[in-house]
Parts: sequence; structure tokens; C-alpha cells
Amino acid sequence: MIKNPSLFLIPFADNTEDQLLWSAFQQGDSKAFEKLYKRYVRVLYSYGYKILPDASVIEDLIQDLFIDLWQSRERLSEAVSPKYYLFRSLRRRIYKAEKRHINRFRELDSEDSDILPPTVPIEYEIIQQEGETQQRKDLEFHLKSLPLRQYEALTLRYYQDLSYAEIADILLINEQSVRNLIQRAVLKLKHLALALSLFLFLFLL
Amino acid sequence: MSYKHYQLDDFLLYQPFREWCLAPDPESDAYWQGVIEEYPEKNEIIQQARQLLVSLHKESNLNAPTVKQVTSMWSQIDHYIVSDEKQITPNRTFRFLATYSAAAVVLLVCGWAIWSYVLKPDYSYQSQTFPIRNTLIEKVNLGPSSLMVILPDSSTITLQPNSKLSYPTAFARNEKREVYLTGEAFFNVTKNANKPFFVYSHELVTKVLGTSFTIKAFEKSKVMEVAVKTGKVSVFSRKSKSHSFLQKDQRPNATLTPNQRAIYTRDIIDIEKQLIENPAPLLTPYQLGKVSQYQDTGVGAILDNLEAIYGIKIEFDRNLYRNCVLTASFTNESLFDRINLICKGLESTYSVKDGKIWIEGPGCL
Repeated sequence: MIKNPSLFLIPFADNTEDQLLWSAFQQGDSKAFEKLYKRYVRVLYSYGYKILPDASVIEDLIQDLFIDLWQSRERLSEAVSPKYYLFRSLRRRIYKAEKRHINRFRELDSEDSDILPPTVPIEYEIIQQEGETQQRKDLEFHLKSLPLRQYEALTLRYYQDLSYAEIADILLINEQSVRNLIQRAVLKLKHLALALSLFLFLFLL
Repeated sequence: MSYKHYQLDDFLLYQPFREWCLAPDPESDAYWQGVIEEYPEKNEIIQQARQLLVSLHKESNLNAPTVKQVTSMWSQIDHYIVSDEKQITPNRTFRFLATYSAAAVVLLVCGWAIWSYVLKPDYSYQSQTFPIRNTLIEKVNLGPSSLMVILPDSSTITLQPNSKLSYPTAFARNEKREVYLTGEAFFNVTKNANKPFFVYSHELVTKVLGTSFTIKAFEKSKVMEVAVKTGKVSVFSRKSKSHSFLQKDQRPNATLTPNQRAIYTRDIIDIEKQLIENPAPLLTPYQLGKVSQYQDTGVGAILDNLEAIYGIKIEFDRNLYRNCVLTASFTNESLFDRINLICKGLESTYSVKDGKIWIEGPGCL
């Protein structure tokens, strides 16, 4: 059961509930629209800010997204997954913004420069309970060191629970590329985490 | 519930597992502890999945907006919702259209202005006289009655109320006599075949050698009129296809003889030749008296007389009317009264077209 819905609402957001809010908002229910906003504004913002770390730009993009959403509500399709629609719409707006401010942002295709980590021998797979907190912190650090596209794919897949097809559409690549991005990200994280635990293990010895 | 075949991916996307990772409680703790004990080989994957979810969640929270940001963004959005419901603020599509429409309007207005003020020929009285105003005398009649103006060549012009006339201080030798009119005036031009007399009234030009005629050419009116009393008058439109009037060989749009008038419709740049409403005899009453009594006279002769008296061409089939004779006595009847009487006697009808009178009927056998 969800104990703190306001904090953890988004990863568990029920699509059925989203769709109810969506169709209510399409019929001009501004309260439903506000609920939808409150449901998604935080994750959309943090997702956008990770890609384009400029608070005022992301604020503008999110405002525009919701303003356009409200004003085109009668023309929107009903069968959409609201979460997917919102992420896709924000990502498209970020692409456009990036084109406008091309110099200010990191390269989009940085995942190409990512070298696959060497395969980790199975005998090193030791996880120590005591080291878990430290390991988690390091994982967070490693998340930051992931190429942006890998991070995006990873967070859309496992945190936002979007399908490969949806992610492919959001990132403007094909599904297989999404799978590759995620696979590489997971491998890299595993490798880094295990290398670290091995290091700790040896150090403790 | 069997987790025997669960991989990392399966745990990550399994909703109860996600809830345990991100919002654990004693109940879920106990449950997943039990799973790990039951499937010790899955412990590593479970730990990895849990760490990944928690890390992604923390990373997301790290970049999350502040409450203030969330509120201020909403107030911006809400502004549009309120406006939208009140139907005041045009929507974005409309704003987009409005922007482009405005640009289009600006272009159109600029284009129109350039056309009007730069490219479009302006033949108004004002624009024609202004550049040469130092060489002109202007007479303006703002009073209730007509004003007589005598030109250097002793032509007389009767200027009607609300009209202006400009003419040179002197007509140069061997050159055109050129005057400018806006409004209405009757011209009695002294004959001088070497120096044609031109009246410029807006886009209408009247050329005569020595005649009397009336021009009605008010700036705002839709039609202008040149009505001839005596002599021969050529009328030109400056807006006609053969544009440059000052070329020597431009053919007149209409050549008028007495009792004819040209009606110039400015919108469609069309000159129509008509008869004036009440054609006046060209002869003196003395001369008239001689040709107003007819006793068993041939119709051809009577109509020829009328043609001569009024200077208006009367068209009829001479062959058909060869044997017709009439006895008539005219005194004060107007031209059309006389034509009517004649037509009654001949069981014929008449029409006026192209400045002429046309008589049609069975004739006399």
C-alpha cells in the first residue's frame, strides 16, 4: 500500500485514474486539469531539468505544454496514456529548445562514445549487507555519470514504467535502440557497483 | 506467487515490488524478506533492482522543482484557463493567425500606400495644378451664384458654385491653351484652330477648337459629364488603355456634336455618348420660324430639317419612308415633342442611342 501518496504518487500513478482525469479535463473540467498538473509537474520538471539544466527554460516549457494542452483539449485524442503524452510532449519541446540554444547543451548522441564495460566474472558477485548504503550512494553517483540518453531511457523505463515503444517515440529512436541503451546502462551500473564492492572487499581484507 | 524465473527487469516493473522499494512498510518488508529467504538465488537481483529504483527516485527528487516553482508555474497556466473560460484571451492558434494577419494587413496597407501615393497616377485637380501653381491664376466660386471668368484669349467661362478653375496668366504663342477645372463650368471658347483648347478635369480631358460646352466634373462625384452646345468637342479619358494622353495621336474616347453629352463613369472608366436631356435648337428664332411649317411635306425633308435645327443625327430608313408625307406646324415644342408627333403620324417609334435618334416603323407604301 502506498503510505505517502503525495511523495510517491507518480511511479505508481494508475493509468486508469489518469485517463479519467484526462477525459474530464477534455470536457473542460479545470479541477481535473489541475490534478493532472499536480500529478505530473514534479517528475516532468526533474526529467526536463536533467536534460536541460536551465530552470527558467524548463518552467517555460512546462507552462507552455499545459497551456497548449488546455487550449487544444477538444482536439486531443482520448485513447492516449496521459503520462506518455506528457513526457513525449515535454521531450519534443526540449528538442526544439535545444535547437534554439544549441551551444548551451551537451551533445545528444553522447551514448555513442560510451564504451561497453567488460563482462564481470560471476565469482565477484558478492554483495555485502553492510556495504549497501555506501553502494547505493555510489550508484547514485554512477547514475550521474551515465550518458544522458542512457539515463533517460533508464528512468523512463524503470522509474516512469513506460513501454519500449513509448520510450522510442519520446527519444525519437527505434525500440531496439531503447533496449540497447537500457542494457548498456544496466551493465555499466552493475559493473561499477561490483567493481566498487570488490574494491571495498579487498580493502577490508 | 513464484519468482523463480524473475529477472532484474521483471522485478523493476513489478508494481508491488516498486511500492516496497519506494514506500516500504512493515507489511511489505516482511513479505519481501520472505521472498528473499524463499529464493536466495534472487537476492542479488532483488538488491540491484531495489538500489536502481531508489537511485532513480532520488535522482528524480534531486532535480524536482520547489513548491514555489510548482505554484508559480500553475498560476501562469491557470491564468490562461481563467481567460479561456471567460472567452477573453484569444487562444494560441488565434494569436498565431492574428500575428500573421496583422503582418499581412501591414503589407497590404504599405502596398496600397505606395500604390496610391507613388505609383498610381494622380489626376486630381489638386495634383495637376499644384506643381505649376506659380504660373496659374485660380478662380474659386464658393458663392451661391455663377461666376464669369474671362481668359486671356477672351474665351468666357461661367463657373458654377463650389467649383475651381485654374488657367495660365497668359497663353503662350502657338501652344495649347490649357485650363484646369474641378466642379461645373460652361465654356464658350474663342475659336483658334492653331491653339487647341484643353480642359483638364481630373482624369477627363476635353479638347476643343472653338465651341461652347459644359463640363460637370466634381471631385467626389461618380460620373462626370461634358455636354456640347455648339461646335465639336473631343473627350479623352486619362485612364483609358491608350494611357499617355499627351501623345499626339491619341484617339478621343468620344467626339461630341451639339446636344450630345459624354457621361464618364469613373469606377469603370467608361464613356457613354448620350443626348442631353433637352436639346436646344441651334438656329435663331428667326431662322426657326422659316422651318416650322410643313404642308404635305415628305418625312425625309422634315427630319432633315430637325437634324439641322438641333444638330442631332436622326437615323431612319429613307427607302421605307420615301412615300410618307405630313402636314405639321411646330411652335414651342421641344425636339422630343416634335419627334413624338411625327412618330404618331407615321405609326412609328423612336429610340435614342449613341447620341442619335433612331426611328423605326412600317413606313408608307
